[in-house]
Amino acid sequence: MVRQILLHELRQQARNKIFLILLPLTLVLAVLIALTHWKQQQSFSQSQQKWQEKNEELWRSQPDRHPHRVAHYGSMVFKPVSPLNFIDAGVNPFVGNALFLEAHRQNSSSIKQFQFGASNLALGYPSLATLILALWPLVLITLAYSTFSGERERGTLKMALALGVPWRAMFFGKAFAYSLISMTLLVILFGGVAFLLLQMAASADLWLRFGALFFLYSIYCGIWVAAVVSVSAISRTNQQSLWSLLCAWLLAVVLIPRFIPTISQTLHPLPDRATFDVALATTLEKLGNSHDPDDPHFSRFREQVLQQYNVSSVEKLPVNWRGLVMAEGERLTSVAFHTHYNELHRQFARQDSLRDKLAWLSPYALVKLLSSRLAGTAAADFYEFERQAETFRYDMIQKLNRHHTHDIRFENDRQQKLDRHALLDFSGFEFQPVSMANNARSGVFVLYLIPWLALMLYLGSRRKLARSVI
Amino acid sequence: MRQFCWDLRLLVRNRAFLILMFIYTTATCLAIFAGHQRHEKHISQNAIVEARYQDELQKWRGSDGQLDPGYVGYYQFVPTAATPSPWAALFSGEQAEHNWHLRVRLLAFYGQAYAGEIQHYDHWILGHFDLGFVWIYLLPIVIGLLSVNIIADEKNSGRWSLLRAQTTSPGHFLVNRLRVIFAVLLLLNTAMLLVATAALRIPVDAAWGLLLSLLVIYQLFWFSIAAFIARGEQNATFNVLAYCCIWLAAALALPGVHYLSRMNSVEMDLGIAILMEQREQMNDSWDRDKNADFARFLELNPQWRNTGSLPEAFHWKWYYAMQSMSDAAVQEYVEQLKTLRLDAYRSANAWAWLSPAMSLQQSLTAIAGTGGLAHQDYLDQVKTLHQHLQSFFYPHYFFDEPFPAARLADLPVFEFQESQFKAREGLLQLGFINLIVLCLFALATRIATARCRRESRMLARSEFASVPLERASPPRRTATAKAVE
Repeated sequence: MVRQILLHELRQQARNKIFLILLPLTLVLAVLIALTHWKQQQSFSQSQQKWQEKNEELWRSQPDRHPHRVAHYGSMVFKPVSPLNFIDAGVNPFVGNALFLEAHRQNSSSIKQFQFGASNLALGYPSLATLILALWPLVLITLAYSTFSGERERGTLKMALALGVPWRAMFFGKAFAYSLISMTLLVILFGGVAFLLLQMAASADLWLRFGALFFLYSIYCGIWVAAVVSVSAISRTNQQSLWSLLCAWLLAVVLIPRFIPTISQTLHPLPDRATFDVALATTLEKLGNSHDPDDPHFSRFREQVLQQYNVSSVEKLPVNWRGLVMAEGERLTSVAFHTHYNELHRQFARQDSLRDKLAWLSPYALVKLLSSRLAGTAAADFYEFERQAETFRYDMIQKLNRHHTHDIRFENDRQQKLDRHALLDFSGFEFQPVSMANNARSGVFVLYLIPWLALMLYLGSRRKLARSVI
Repeated sequence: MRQFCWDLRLLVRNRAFLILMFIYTTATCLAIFAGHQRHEKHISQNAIVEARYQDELQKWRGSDGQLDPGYVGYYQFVPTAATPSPWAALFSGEQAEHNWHLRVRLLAFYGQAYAGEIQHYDHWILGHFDLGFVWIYLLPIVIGLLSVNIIADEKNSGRWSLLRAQTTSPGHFLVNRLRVIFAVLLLLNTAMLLVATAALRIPVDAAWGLLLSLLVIYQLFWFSIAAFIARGEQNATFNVLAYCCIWLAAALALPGVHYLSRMNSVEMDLGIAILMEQREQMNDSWDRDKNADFARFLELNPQWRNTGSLPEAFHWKWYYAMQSMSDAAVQEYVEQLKTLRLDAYRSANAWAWLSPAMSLQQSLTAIAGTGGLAHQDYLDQVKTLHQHLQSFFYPHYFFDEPFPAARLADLPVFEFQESQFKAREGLLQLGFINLIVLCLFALATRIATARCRRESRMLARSEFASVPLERASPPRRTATAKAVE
């Protein structure tokens, strides 16, 4: 019975002009958006590769230099774009992807992939994810809002029930029909994505992410199918059904997802860059100032070093005192930075905690967040890049400080230079993306989706609804 | 007036209207409250940075005798902030996208100008929310849901034939109903604007008037669209879908296509080129012939050429000259980046003639000074401050002028000049789009009336043909034909 209803519904849709216009239109739009992003992604990766190579070449071709000069010459690091960026760009259009690393400072970057201009895109960034998660539900509403209510208005629903068609068979038959239409769209789109991924040597982790994204989008479409068919089953008229579904779309896709960050930002505000830098400078002053000869911390540090080497003055040390001061100064800078950076991330965590509590109100918000995690384009991936870049910076600078301490003499320090061959020992930065295993914790969001699916299915499949028709 | 009151009473009895108004008002209140909090946060953060700056100056002044101007120039940051206009609390535009609160010092300017802002990037995934969002995106939906099915609803309930017979024309009936919804929404929006004006202490000036005019004309646009669709007298589903399609085209598709058309890697290339070129220029200068580089600087900056020759040992004047030269080395890239940004603005402005949502967005960010153009203007002002800092410090390096602590009283400070952008252009754009829609509405009404007349004539003829010959003359106007006319 379910199969017959499913086929009937599909036959009806095949005769529906709106369906015949909307499905190909959605597919063409999706392909155009995906290809534009794919092309841009390829061009961006090539460009990034070019700069990365140039950076390494410049590093290797440095002349003999004082280690502290090399520390200020620094290095550029780049966050490689995730291969699934063209499905869901996540935070990538908004974050800096290149970072200049040097001594004493943790620089920030505002060099983005491209000119964004957020103000004109407040409703949504054009991507495959936006199309599937925000627009496809609208298409589903257009196709299926009258699936029950239309029959109720025409009187055919009463007839079908009187003929003994079980309500649940009818409900699930219709729901499966629209699920099949959604799955057709997803299979075509993900087939195209798989074809593009095959052009590159995609890793097992990438295919796992790809599969998880397909699964996630399928559940999401399932929720909307269940919602649309259920609301149509509950509604007395077509218009009531359409009105209710459009209001639900407005709340779930447009309003609630925007309320969530607004509320969490208002309750847990963040410092801006200038305030953060001021707080960092204040902490650093308290910890110690390497340029102040009377600074208590560095006075103590000098005493400790003299005691350790059992000498009476820094000139008599077997190592370069200035190199030791640089290393200690760098350590303090790093301690101060991590104190404030960790506090900042604790504030992020507070915002996230509130967000996670509110996100269950909108399946769109849940899926959008999880989708960016799976695509490797979430904020967590960017923060991981920042963390790895900072570790790399600190290690690089401290290695140069060790050269300063051991390979440069204290006397006439500034006039000496480090042999350029010593710089060839420095390895380049290679970003290790957050693995799927580390993202597993966010998979808990999927659990939030199940009650939504169950609720929607329950609402529409109640036998009581059949009685109300007859 | 009596008709207006009747229509108003009818509207208020509609439960769906009350639910929509509740959602809309809640969203507006949240937007104003969150904007107010954001505004307060910006002001308090500016105050924290300013207090720190005053403390630093106090410490320098506390030093005995002369200060080393080289160290002061190296360590002393001067705070700059694009003091947020109270409008920025309501229309945040690109406020979260750029850094509007920079601290600059005498080192190379372009190494400091592009610092990123701190933000929790996950919020971008879900989207930002302000009063601008409510008016630009939510208001048209509310208008659509309340207006687009005025005739279709009456048809569904079976009252339409009766109403049509009672009214002079369907257009008149439609306008009567729409003016009530228009007035209620305008009143609500104006009330909310007044609440925001009081909460944020916004002056009621020309900008306020301009904003209200923009809002009225934007509302008028969406009402015209709703009227145009409703006048077609199609079924309710068709009307809602047609309206949604227009809304999606204006709010999502056109901005999206504009965005996709501008997607390339040029900005990233320029940004990295600025960073790398500046780094090369600054660091290589330590290994090059210092006198030759310094001579090149003096050639480009003749006002300092009367300085003494460069000593063997390190000298601040060489150091800052090289910092300045590194800025000059990337000036071309910076100009290209600026041109790119201005191009993006111009192209968005051109697209705004097609999309009222883009047009209103640009006008709102122009009023609030939170657009990309305003940020570029802020950067230009910070650059001017940096030049003033150079003029302040350089005589102490190039002509060895003493630098007593009291000299810091003359340290240049940043005074933000709020830019005046052409928000009035939005009025023109929206007015033009409105005119087109109203013309279409008038045309559709004319065509519909002509069709009705034609149909009624045909009806009359067919009735005339069907009656027996002895009763055929003279021809009579039927009741249906009268009603249609």
